Amino acid sequence: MLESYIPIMLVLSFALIFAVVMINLSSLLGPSKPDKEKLSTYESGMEPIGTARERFSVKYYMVAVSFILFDLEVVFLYPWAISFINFPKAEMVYSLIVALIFIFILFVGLIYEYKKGVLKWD
Amino acid sequence: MNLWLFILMLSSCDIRFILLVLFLNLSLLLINIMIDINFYLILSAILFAIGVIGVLVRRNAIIIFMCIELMLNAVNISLVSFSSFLGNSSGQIFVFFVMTVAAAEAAIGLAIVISLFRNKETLNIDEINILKW
Amino acid sequence: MEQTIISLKNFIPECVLIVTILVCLLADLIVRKKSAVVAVIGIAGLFVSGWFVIGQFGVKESVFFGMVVIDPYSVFFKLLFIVSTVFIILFSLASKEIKDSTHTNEHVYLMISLTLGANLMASSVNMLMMYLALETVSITSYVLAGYMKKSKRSSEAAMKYVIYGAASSGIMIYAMSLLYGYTGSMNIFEISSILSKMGGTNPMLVIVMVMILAGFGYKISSVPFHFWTPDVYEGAPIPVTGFLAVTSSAAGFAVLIRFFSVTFLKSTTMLNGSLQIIDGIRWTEIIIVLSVASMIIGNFVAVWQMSFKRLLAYSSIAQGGYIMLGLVVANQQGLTAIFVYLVAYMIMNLGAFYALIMISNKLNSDDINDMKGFAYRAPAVAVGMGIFMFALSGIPATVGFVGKFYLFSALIESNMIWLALVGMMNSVVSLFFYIKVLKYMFLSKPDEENSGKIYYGIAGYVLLFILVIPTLLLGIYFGPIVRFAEMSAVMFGLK
Repeated sequence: MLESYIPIMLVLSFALIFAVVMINLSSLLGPSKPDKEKLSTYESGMEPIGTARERFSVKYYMVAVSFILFDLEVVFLYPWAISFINFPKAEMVYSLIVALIFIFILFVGLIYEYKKGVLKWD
Repeated sequence: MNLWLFILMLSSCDIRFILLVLFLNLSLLLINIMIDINFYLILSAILFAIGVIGVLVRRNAIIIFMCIELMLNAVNISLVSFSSFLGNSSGQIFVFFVMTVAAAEAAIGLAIVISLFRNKETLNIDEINILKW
Repeated sequence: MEQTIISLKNFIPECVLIVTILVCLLADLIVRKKSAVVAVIGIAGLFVSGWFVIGQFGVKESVFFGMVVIDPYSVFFKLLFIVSTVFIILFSLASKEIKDSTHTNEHVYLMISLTLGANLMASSVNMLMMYLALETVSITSYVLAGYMKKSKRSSEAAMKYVIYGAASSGIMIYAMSLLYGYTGSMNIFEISSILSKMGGTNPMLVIVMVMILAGFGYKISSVPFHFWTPDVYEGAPIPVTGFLAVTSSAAGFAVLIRFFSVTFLKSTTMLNGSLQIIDGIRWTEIIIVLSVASMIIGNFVAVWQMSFKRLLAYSSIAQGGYIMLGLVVANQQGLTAIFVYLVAYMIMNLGAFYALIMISNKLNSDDINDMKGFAYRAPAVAVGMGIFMFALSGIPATVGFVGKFYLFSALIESNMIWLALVGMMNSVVSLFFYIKVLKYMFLSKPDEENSGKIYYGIAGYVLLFILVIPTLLLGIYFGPIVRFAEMSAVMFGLK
């Protein structure tokens, strides 16, 4: 029983050794000539400005929260959309109305957000 | 794959040969071992335990929220695997709801974190201690 | 489609609540701040919903494909929640903490959403629906607990609440997923029939039960899961605290009682009025431990509290312990006793929190030391508070006594005399700290610098009076609530 697991053990240990050896080998054998340009942060080819560890404005957070909520509520529309074609003809309008009620409730939330000024950037 | 043959291959020092054998062997292994429901359940239990331990041990509020998300995702794995094992779709429906509830909880939790941070300038829950006894 | 439309007819009260929430939300955008329009709309919606709930009395139906049931049990709880929400919205109009907060109308529809969640908790018979309803209640109460954005205490309370609540509901749904895997169903009636076929010998079931208790137990703040209660009660604004103490914990009881007395009972129940527990699942013993621990810890820790809100928090932990005693009996009589106790609990707790709102509006504090000699400054409020304190400790001729009387007699009749004794002794201990408040109010002189008379508007006195009357009247003439409770103690699916 346990014997059949030995290949897995061998694979795992070999993978580990191989990875460690290869990584260290490249640093041992490869040429190492660091300069200022090479060591600087890679920022899509632009000159890096300032530190990366500064606080973000709370505006991003507002957008993030709205995104999480509205993004995930749409999860309920996927099963509906997939099964929509399989509904009998008579029930299609009915199922559309149900989905619209759901979207309407989300829409009221969006109106509320808009009126409270969450979506304003400044 | 015969074990002794395998060791023989390892002992022959040609690395390309060994790699080839290993690759074949690995794919054979993945096909041969039927991954049954227990694997998923064990994974889910481990994730859940990591989440619970994180909630109990970590001291940063954000990380605690992440651990709670981990717990909920462990539940999702367990629900989906049971659902596919039983051939019953209600587990998968539950997963949708758990996901959305988790999102709502995260949104509320982060909002509370922000309001707490504005008041107290800390997220270390050891320093959140006005209310006690 | 037909079934959904038929179901919707039985779902009108909840639909009314949803529409009320949406209308309030939009009205809040239109009307100016500091206006009571939103609250008026909210209360009107609650009344309409309550009207439809009364119309459902006596109906026993399962709607929405076995997700929700309408039965006298759920109707009772819905009425309880709606009445207490109306009172709490009135309280929040009177409360200074809510008035001074930066957003003035949001609490109305948050509270109605909480009521909606609580209504669903009382009527759900599917684990998915139970979880969703519980989360609706939880998430809105996190927001309500952190309502005062500028207050350190309020946001700290919300933080503690959200971490505790999210973790325990996570534990609960993990157990639910295991139960689903074991039985292959989410519907608690199906789970019950499958479990009674298989027998309860699997030790996993005990673990599942304890983990599910973590989720429900945190809502009712039963002892090993009670640590959030004092902190959240102290930090949250007082109307919200009252709301958590009454509606949220009663909703926890609704779902807990239904879950345990349907899932872990044999489907052929109620032989001679007593419920048959599935062999090997001894959940009543777990409940006994939790209940005794809640009573003892709640009552004994409350003795040392100097903050009135913390005192009421520990008191509500202890009251939760008493209510669970009724679940231990596991028969019709126990359920009736729980219902009588819940009505009493709602009336006296609402009263106590309202009196506390009146006091702390003027004193800006809920410390018992600051209430020295309050009876000399505002006698009517102090007397009202005294009546509610006596009712909470269960003195005869108040509604609290009726509740305790029915609970203990249900225990004695099913030969659990020692439990009844433990409960009675705890009542004696509780008398000590309830009287302590009155001692500060009535027997000590006020400090020199603030000993002036305090006056309230006429509306404040009227509301207090409305709450005092049932506390005293139902203590003497308790026939109606007992009959109401007996009629309501009927669950769907149990004969």
